[in-house]
Amino acid sequence: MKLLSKTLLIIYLSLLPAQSETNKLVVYTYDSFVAEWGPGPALEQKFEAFCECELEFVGLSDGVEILTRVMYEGKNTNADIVLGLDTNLIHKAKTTGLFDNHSLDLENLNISDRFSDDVFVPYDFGYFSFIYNSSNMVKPPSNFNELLESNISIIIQDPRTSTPGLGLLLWIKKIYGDDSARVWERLNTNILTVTPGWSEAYGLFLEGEADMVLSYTTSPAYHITYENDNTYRAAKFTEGHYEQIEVAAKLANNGNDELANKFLSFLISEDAQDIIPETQWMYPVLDDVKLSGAFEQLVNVENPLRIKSEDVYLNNEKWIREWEESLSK
Amino acid sequence: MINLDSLSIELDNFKTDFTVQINRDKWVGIIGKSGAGKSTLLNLIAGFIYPDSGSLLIDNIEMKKYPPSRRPVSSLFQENNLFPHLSVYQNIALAIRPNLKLSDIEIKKISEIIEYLNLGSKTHSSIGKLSGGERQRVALGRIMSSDKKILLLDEPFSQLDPNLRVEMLELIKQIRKDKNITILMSIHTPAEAIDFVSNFLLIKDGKVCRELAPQDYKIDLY
Amino acid sequence: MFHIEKYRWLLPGLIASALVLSLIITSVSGIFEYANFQLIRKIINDDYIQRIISFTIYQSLLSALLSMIIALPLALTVRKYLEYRIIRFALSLAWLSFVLPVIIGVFAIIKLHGVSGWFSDISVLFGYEKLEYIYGMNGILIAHIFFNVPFATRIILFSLNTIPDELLRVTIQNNFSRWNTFTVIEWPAIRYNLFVTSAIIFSLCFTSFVVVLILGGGPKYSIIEVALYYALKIEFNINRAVSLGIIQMIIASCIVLIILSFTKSFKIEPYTKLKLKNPSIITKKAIVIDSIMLIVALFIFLLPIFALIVSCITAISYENIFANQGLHNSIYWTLVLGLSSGIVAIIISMMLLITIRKLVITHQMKWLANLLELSGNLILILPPILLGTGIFLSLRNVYNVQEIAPYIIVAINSLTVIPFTLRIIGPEYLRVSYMYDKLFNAHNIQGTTRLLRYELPILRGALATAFAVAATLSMGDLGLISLFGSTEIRTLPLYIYQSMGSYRMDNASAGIFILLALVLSIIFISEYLLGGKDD
Repeated sequence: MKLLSKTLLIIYLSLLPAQSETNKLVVYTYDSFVAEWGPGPALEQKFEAFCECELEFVGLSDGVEILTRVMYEGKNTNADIVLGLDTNLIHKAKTTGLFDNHSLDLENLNISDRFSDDVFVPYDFGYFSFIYNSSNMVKPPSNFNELLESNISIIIQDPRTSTPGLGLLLWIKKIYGDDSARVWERLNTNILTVTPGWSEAYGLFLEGEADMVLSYTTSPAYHITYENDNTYRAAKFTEGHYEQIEVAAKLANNGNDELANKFLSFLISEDAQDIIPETQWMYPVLDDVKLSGAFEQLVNVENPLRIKSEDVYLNNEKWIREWEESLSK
Repeated sequence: MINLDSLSIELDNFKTDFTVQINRDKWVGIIGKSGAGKSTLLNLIAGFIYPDSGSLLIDNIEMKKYPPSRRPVSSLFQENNLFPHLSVYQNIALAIRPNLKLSDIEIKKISEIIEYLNLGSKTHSSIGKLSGGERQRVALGRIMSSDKKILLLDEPFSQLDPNLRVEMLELIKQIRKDKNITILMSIHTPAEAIDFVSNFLLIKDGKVCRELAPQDYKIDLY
Repeated sequence: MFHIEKYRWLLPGLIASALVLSLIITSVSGIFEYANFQLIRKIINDDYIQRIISFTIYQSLLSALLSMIIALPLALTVRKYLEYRIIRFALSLAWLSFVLPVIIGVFAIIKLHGVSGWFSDISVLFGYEKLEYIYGMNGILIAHIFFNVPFATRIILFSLNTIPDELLRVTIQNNFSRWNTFTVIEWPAIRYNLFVTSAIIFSLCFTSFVVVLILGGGPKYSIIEVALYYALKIEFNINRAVSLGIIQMIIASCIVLIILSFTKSFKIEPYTKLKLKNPSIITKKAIVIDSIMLIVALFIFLLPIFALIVSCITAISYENIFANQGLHNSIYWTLVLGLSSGIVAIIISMMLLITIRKLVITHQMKWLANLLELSGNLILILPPILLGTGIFLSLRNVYNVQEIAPYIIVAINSLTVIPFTLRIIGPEYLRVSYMYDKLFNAHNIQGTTRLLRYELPILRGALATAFAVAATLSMGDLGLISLFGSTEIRTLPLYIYQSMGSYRMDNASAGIFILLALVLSIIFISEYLLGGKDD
C-alpha cells in the first residue's frame, strides 16, 4: 500500500506544470520545419550560438494548426513566436489581436515589391503548380484552358483541410473570378481524387496514380538534389502561378521581447536564409543567397498571383461552398 | 452385428487397430485406462473420425462410406449434449427434424417419449433450469426419437453422483428392452455396471485386448 | 443487512468506469461551454449539412452491412480449417489491415486496386484500359471492407469457438443441413457479438475521415467529420464544430442503439467448450467451395499488405534504417506508448469485466452490468477530433500539455481500444466463469487468488490477443499523436506522415516497414508465445 501511494505521488508530481524559464524562446511551427531534414535543427544551432538562450521549436501538424493552437491557448500560450502561417491566414491572425509589430525593415527582401506587413515577417515563398513526370508526358498543358480541354488526370488537395488545396482554389478565383464555378465543374472531369493534405496527394502521384499533382514549382528541386532524378517537372502556366509566402510573427505577450526580436531578424538574415532552400524546398527571401543548381533548372515564374489576405478572410466560406457545389455535380 | 476388422487410425503418435465382433442386442461396457482409445473406438463407429484402413461393418454393410448421419448409431456424451437456448421439447424434436417443424404424429411421438422419461412437467422448460440427471434424460429422449438401433455412450454419467448413475443405468436398461437396441458404453467405474452389461471389452494401446464376463472386470485391468 | 465487504467486487468495475468517464468528462467540459442549441438547429436545417448527414449514415451503414455479409460466411468457413497453420498465420496477418494507420492502409489498397496498381497492370497487359474504380463510392466501400472484415471475422470466430464439439457432433449425427446447423447452433452463439461488432464497424466508418477524403474522389462524398474538422481547424469556429459534434454523436448513438436493439441485453455466449480431437467432418464438395472462398479472401485481404511490404523492401536502405536517429527515436516512442496503452486497456477492461461477470452470474442488477459495458463502449460515438480537442482545451490552463502529452496519449489511446478488448476478453471470461464457478465456490477460491492464480492463466489466450490488438491499434494511431505529439515524442505513424510530407518517401517506406515488422512481432509474440497455440 505504501509503495502504491508513493507511486501515485510520483505520477501526480510529474503531472504538475513545470516552471517556465525566462531565457527560453518557444517557437510554434509545423512539424516538417523541425524534422531532422527540415531547417529547424540547423537554425537552432546557429541561433543558440549567439543568443545565449535556449530555442525550443514546438512542431504542430500544419500551418493552420499553429494559428488554431495559439487562438485556443489565448493569452496563456507558451509560444513567443509563431512561424509557418501563410499569407492567406494573415488577416485572420490579426483579428485575434494576439500578435505584435515586428519593427524590422523588410525593404531589402526580394519580395518587398509585393509583400510588406507590420506584424508578419516573410521568410520563404514558392508558387503552386502542377507537377508531371516528363517520361510519361511529353507536352504538359501550358495554361488552365489546355488542362481543362485535355483528359489529363490530376490529384488535388481539399481546400477545407490543406493549404495547397486552398491555393488552387484562390489561383482559379484570381484568374476566373465569377466564372470559377464553371471552371471547377469542367476541371472535375480531370480530377482523379481530392486528398486531405499535400502528403497524400504527392504520395499518390509518385505511385503513378495520376498524370499531374498540385504542388510547388520548386518540388522538382528535391528530386534533382536527392534522387538525381530530373524527370519530375512543373508545368508552367501562362496565366501566372499563385504565390504562397510563409511568415512568422511574435506574440504580443511573449516572455522575452528582446529575444523574440532577435530571432525574427535572424530569420531573415543570410545566415538563416542559407538553410531554407534545400530544407524547405522554397525560395529564400534574400537574393544574395546562393541557390544550388537544382533551383536553376526550375521554371521561372514571372507573374506571381495573389489575392489580398483580407479578401480571402471575408470570402473564404462562400468560395469553399461554391467549390463544394461545383465538384458535387 | 457390428464387425470391426483391423480398423485403424493414426492420431498424434497413437495408432489404433481394432478388431472385434459385437452381436446385436448386447450391452457392451468398454473399459481401459484413460488414453487407451475408448473414445476413439466410439468416434470411429459413429463416423466422427475417419479410419486410415480396416473395415467397419454393421449388419454386413460397410459403414466407411456413410456419413455419421446415415449410420444407424446415435451418441450420448459426458456433457454438452443439449442446446442451452432450446427447450426440452425442442432438444428432443431436432433429431426428427432439425428445423423443428413436426407433423402431428411426430409431435405425439415426442410427447410420449417425454412422458416415458418422466419429464412431462418440464416439456417447455429451458435446459438451464434442469438438474444434471434430467439433462441426460433429455439427451436420451433425443436418442429414442431418432429410432437408431445402436447407442454409443461415452462415459455418459461420470458427471452425476453414484445414486443417480445407477438410476440412469436402470433407465437405459428399460429403454434397451423396450426399443431393442445395441449399446456400447465406455465407463470408468465398471463395478457399477456389472448388473447391467452383457460383457466388458478391455481396451489397451488402441487394441481390443480381451473380452470379459461382467464379474471378471477386475482381472488384468492394467 | 448490508455488508460493505460483500460488495467489494463492485469496486473494480466502478473505479474503471469512473476513470473512463472522468476522461470523457474532462473532454466534454472543455467544449461544453461552446455548445449552442440555437446553432445546432440552424446547422440541422442547412441543405448541405443534411446531404452530408444522409451520406454519412448511408455509407457507414452500407459499409457495416457489407463487412458483416462478407465476414460471416468467411468466419464460418475459416473455422473449419483453423487447425491448419497457414490459416492461423493468415488470420494473424489480417490483423494488420485493421490496426495499421488508415493512411498506410489506403496506400496498401492503392498498390493493388489503384490506377497504377497490380490489377490495373494486369488489365493493361491484356490490352484493356487502366482501372479507375477505386476512386469514388467503390473505393470508400472497398477500403472499409478491407479494414473491417478481418476484425469482424476474428470476433465471429471467437464466438464460434465457444460452441462445444459435442454439439457439433449432435448436428452431424442428426443430419442437420448447413442452414439448420447455422440457425440452431451457430446463430445463437454469434448473434450478440455480431450485432455489437456491426455497431462498432458502423461507428468506425461514421468518422472515417481519411478514407472518405482520399478515396471518395471529391467533396461529392463528404461526411460530418470532414465538416467538423473544417470548422475546428480551418474556420476556428469551435461553436460550429461542437454543434456538428453533438449532431454526429446523437445520430451515431441512435443508430448504434437501433442496431443493438436486435440483440438482447447483456447476453453470454450460451455454451461452454470442451476441446475434443478431430471434431469436424469436411466433405469433398465443401472443400472445393471453401478453398475458392479462402483463396479469394487471402487475395482481397492479404495481397494489398503483401504489395505494400514488397514496395517498402525495394525502397529501404542501410542509411534510412540503421543510420537514422529520427526513426530510432520513433520506434522507441511507438513501443513505449503502444505497449503502455495496451497494458492500461487490459487492466481497465479486466476491472470492468470482474464486476460485470459477478453481476451477470449472480443475476443481480443487470442494468448496472449494461451501464458498465456501455461506459467502456461510450468512446465509439465521440468524434475523435473533438475528444482530443476537448481534452486539450480543458487541460491547457492547468498543465503544460506538451509535458504531459505521453500520459494523455496513453490515456486516450487505451480508452479508444477498450471496446475491442472488451469484445475479445468478455465472452471468454464469462464462459470460464460459468464453467468453473461451482468449482471455485466449492473450494472457496475467491478474490485476487481466484483472479491471479486461476482465471488469468485460463484466459491467457484471450488476454494475449486483446493485448496485441490494443497495443497495435495504439501504435497505429495517427490522429491523436498529430494533436499531442511533438518533436521529441513522435511515433512511427507520425514519422511516416512527416516523411511523406517532406518528399522523403524512402524514409516513409523504412518507417512503414519497421511499423509493419513491429506490429507483426507483437501479434505473433502475443498470439503464439504468450497466448499458447490452442486457438
